[in-house]
Amino acid sequence: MFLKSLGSLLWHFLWVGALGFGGGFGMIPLMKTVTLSHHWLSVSEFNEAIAMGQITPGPVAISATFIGDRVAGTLGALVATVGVFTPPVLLIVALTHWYTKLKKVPGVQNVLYATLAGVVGLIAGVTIMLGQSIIHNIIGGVFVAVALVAGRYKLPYWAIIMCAGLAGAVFLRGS
Amino acid sequence: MGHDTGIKTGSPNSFGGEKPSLKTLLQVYGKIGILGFGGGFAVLSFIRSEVVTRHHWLTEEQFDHVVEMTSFAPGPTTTNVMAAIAYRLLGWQGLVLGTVAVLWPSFLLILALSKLTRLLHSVWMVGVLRGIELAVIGLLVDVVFTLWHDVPKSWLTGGLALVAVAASLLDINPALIILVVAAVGVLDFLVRKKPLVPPKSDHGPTSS
Repeated sequence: MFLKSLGSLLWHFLWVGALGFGGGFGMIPLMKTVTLSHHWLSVSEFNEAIAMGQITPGPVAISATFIGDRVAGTLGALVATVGVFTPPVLLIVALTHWYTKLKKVPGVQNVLYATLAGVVGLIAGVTIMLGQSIIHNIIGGVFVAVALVAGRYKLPYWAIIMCAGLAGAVFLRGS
Repeated sequence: MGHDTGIKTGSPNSFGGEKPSLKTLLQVYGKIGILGFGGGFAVLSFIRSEVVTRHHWLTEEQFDHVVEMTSFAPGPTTTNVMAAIAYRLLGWQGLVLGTVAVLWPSFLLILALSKLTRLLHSVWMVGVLRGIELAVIGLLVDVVFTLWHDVPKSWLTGGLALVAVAASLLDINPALIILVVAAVGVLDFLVRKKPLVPPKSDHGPTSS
């Protein structure tokens, strides 16, 4: 059973890594589907995973570590992390050798921009879905709005999350 | 763009800059891994200051070229840029160990946080977690705005984004949507035989 969990983590996070275009955040829709469809985490816990990925140094893809740990402990964390970073790193090697040629392939830019547009739409969709299940009242809405405005004003994400945690301890205790 | 920035081989030290020892590379990458909070542009300029300004492993122009290249790969821009540089400097060994050196601090920290938040069950902790869960929603909206800024605006990209929103709300697998959207990009080129954006912009999107 344990080995099966590890195998499943590895397989699914390899896919997340291979298709997560658009920078680290492009992985979030894929991670959400993988995580929630297997009932690995609740929606709340998934959001916690993303938040933790923000307050630690390094990219948001490191949320895979959190998810892996909750599924199968430390070994699960390791397997999920290796899974999510292996495809990008291998593709970087391939690009290093073939990028000049790839750039000359006609239409490659069309594919890149079409994919990016789709990825932005996916992140928007996931945000709506997560918002629906996380925001229960006006105070929740205020938290979201303040975080958004702070983000628009280029405050670092880790600082916004830390402040939201402190404010949560005060205003959302036991909720 | 100078011709020397073109990537011809993946052999070590192919930037023509100083070749670091493995130990130096791992020290620099470990430092970025510990201090690289925030992701995206903030960390990219930190990486640039270390590998270009401080250590002269490559030039500004080569660095920009690497960033542009990584927009064609999945995964986080920051670790991809560092992986690409490590590979060009020290080959496979640099690539693997360099990536591990960047990631281990955040790996250990988030692992500890995962275990800690599972064990602590005070009313305070519940409040903290609720707060950060809500903040993430606001930040994701910010991410959508930021990423959309880098996508060239056209009927096609707008339409694809809307279809992706709808498909995602209908719980269609995002992996499938990404593949379909990429296929539409191919079709678009085959039909119109034109780039999506006029050739003047020869840079890919470079933000996080």
